[in-house]
Parts: sequence; structure tokens; C-alpha cells
Amino acid sequence: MLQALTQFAHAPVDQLQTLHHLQADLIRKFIAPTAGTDSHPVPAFALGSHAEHIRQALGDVALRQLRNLQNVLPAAVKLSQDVGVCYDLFAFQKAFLERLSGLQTQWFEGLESIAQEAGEIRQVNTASKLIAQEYNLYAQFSALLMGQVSAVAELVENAQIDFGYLIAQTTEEN
Amino acid sequence: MSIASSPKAPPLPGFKNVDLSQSSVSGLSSGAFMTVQLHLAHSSTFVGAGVIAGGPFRCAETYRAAAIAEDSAILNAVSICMNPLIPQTAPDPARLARNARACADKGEIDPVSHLANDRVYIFTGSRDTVVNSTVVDTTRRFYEHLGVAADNIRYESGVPAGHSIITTNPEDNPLAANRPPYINQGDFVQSWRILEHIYGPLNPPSERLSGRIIRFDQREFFNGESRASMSDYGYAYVPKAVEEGAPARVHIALHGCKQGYAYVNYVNGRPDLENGLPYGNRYFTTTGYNELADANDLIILYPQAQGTDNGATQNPEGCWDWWGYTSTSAREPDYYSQQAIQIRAIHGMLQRLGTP
Repeated sequence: MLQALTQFAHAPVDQLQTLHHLQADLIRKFIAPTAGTDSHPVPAFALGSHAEHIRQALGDVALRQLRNLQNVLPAAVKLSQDVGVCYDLFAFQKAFLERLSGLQTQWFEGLESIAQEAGEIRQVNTASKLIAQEYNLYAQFSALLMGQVSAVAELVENAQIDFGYLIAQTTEEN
Repeated sequence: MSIASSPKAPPLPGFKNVDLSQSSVSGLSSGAFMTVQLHLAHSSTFVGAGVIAGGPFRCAETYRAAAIAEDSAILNAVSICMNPLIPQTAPDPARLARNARACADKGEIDPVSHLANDRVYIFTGSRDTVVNSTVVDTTRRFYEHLGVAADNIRYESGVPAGHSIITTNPEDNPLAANRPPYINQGDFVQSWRILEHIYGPLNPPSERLSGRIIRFDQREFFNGESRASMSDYGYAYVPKAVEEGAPARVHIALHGCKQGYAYVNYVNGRPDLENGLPYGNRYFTTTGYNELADANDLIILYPQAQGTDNGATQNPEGCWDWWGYTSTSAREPDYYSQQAIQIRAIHGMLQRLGTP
């Protein structure tokens, strides 16, 4: 179960890292041709610092995962023999999957709602209104996507903290 | 991005015949977490507290081993104190009670013996998806560990309410909703239950208010420091009889996240100043406190928190501090003691009300 949880926790982290690389490339391409002016210099330092914060946050997620593994492995034999702990871990896994399933439901409902709205775009009189309506759909999808990525990241962090805390309590008791 | 400072408002006035030793406090969500902190920090002043969807004292420091980064407390807050995956990963009330006693021994908060006769109302909606009911249940057990008699605690967990304070107003959200303004319509007025539990039987609420809501300048209470994440103005309801000198008591009502008058929604990381939210004043006008206060000579103090989201202070939703964002030290955050900036400010307001 631990292996499955670990793999599960890693998947969104990998996705976030990929997203980060894409974002960094995009920012570089966008900013590079702009030399800036004396009065409006390109904020290169701020961008570097921003990228560093993202790298650090993702590093923390991975490190926390590693720390959890370090804590649980030495105690694994003891833990596996403790019926109460096994029950807690099973309940933990179940709760995690339930929340993930809830997020998936929200994702599909969101997509369905956008698709429905796309099908209902009425005849419009002006080009500006048409552009606004089309853009709204993209904006809604973007918000939905951001909400999902953020919620999954939050769930992963939640699981990591809870799992670490659960194991810490168990090893303290033993 | 900061929002420009507002013009000065009149200072908070003091009143004759205010018995500060009969004060009480209540709040929703972050206001409920702050209620517990304020109650413990100054338990010699308070006779009771109302906690709607809030967790126990310093629960954000439950699992300090999460401190890979400075954000340990916020991670604890979001996971263990709001949404533990299972009851076993909720805060440990016995341990937190021991911590509270240790704080009292160090003089950071009043001796916990003052809590013994206090009356505490604790509520969790069974449909609350923001602060899980298992957490709120630990708040009840936390108070019991600190010696509050079980008979003095009214614990309600069976109402199918979302994350909200409950009113009977038809304009408010449906009972099970978990969305701003976090004021939901039910079949009772929760503020009345809180005040009646704390103070015993009270006169029926006024149908027409005799008193007035006063706006006062909050800045003097936190020296205008931006890390306080408090608004320029606060509010208080003062019954007419109290203005004329009748004996009075004070109840502090703390709003939750996104409920302060100055709350601004952030869209893609920027404050949406073009679309101010229409509900900023509802917590201090429509939650029912004022009507009951009017008929019972209670002053209701409504301090206001405000969103701040910059490199130093991260509180975009305008929550009260229960995980340390106002603290100058990330490793030893002080958001809970008598010296914590928000607690000091609110306590200062309370003292002012009793000083004519």
C-alpha cells in the first residue's frame, strides 16, 4: 500500500515539475527578446527568484516523501504486525482514494458544464461579443484546470503530512 | 499589492458601567480558532466562548516534523487542523491541553484554572467540508482536558449545515452550502444560542434596534503594522441604554475568512478591486447578535481582519491568525499568547470599551 501511495504521490509532483519546465521555457521565450529600457528594466532577478521558489516547493514535497519513507521503513516490521495500525493505514488509503474520486467527479462535472455552455453559445451581433464568449470558455477551462492541479497538490501535501503524523504517533507509542 | 490606507475614523469610545469580567467571545472558522486562542490567553476576563467550526489551541503546531520549510504550520493547519484524512490524524486534544498548561506556566496566557466555570458552545455542521467535524470534536475534548465541566459545554454536531454561521434570513445561502459569505439559512439563529448558552436566559431579541453601529479606527491597536493583517476600521454595536449609562457586558464576535468588510477577492493573484463583494458588512449587521444585544445591554465588538498577500504576510483571504502568519519568527511563531499582535489588539479594544 505504501508503494502505491508513494507512486500516487509522485505522479502529480512529476506533472507539476513538467508544468514548471514548460512555464520557465515560456517565460524565457517571452522575456528574452525584450531588452527593456532604463526606466523599465526586465526584472530578471525576480524571475530567477520565482523559479527558485517553485523548485524549492517541489523539492520540499519530495523531501517530505523521503522523510516519511525513512520513518516508516525501520518500523515496517513492527507496524505490519500491529492490527490497529494496519486498520488505520487501510482507512487512510480509503479516505485518500475517496477524496481523489471526489476531485475527479468535480473535474468531469466542470468539463460537462463547459461543454454544455459551448453548445449553447447564441447568435451574437458583434465580433467583440463573439470573441468575449469564446474567450470565456477558455478562461473557464483554465480556471477548472488550475483548480484541479491545485486541489491535487493540496491533497498530496495533506496525505504526506497526515501519513507522517500517523507514523510518528505510532512509532512514539511503540 | 497593497490597498491605500483609509481616512481616519473616530477612536473606539469607552462606556460607564461596563463589567469587563463578564466578557465573552465567539467566532466562525478562523474566527473560531482565534476565539479559542483569545479565550485561553485572557481566560480571567472571559466567562464563555462560542466556537463555530474551529479547532483547538495551537493545533497548527501538532506535527512539527513537517518543518522541512518554514511553512510547517500552514501545512499542519490545512491538513491536520482542517481536513485530516482519518480521525487518527486529527489534533490530539490531550497533548494540546498539556501544551496550553505549559504556556500558562510560562505566563504566555492566563492560568487555565480560570476556564473551570466558563460556558462553551461548540458547533460543527455535519455537511461542513472546510473544517472537518472530527477536528471540532477535538476542540470539545480539549476543553474537557482543561477542566471545563462537561455540563458547561454545549456541543452540537447533528445539524446538516455546511461551513457557516446559521441565521433565519431568507437571503442567506442554503443550510448545507460551503461557500462565501458562509452565512447560511437554518431554522434557528446561532448567535442567540451562543449568547444564551454563555449568559443563561436572556430577554427576547429586539424587533427594532434602539442603538447604533459605530465605526472606529482599529489602527491604534496594532500601531498600523501591516503584518497584523487587520483593517483600518472596526465596528461595535452599542445599545442606546448602554450609551446612556446602563450596566453592560461585552461580547466579541469574530468573523471568518473572506468575511471582513474589506475583503477583496483575488483573481489570478491580483485583488479584484473593480468588483467589490457585496457582503462585507453582513457579519456585523445580519447575523443576529445585535438584536439580542439590544435587548440585554450587551456591547458587541466586531474587530476586522483584512487580506494581505505579499512576501512577508500571506493571508489573502483575510483570516484571523491561527498558524503564525503575523509572527516575526517562523520557527517560534507567536500568534496565540497575550503578546501576539492580533490578540493584543483585540484585548486592547476590549479594555477601551470599559474605560470611560
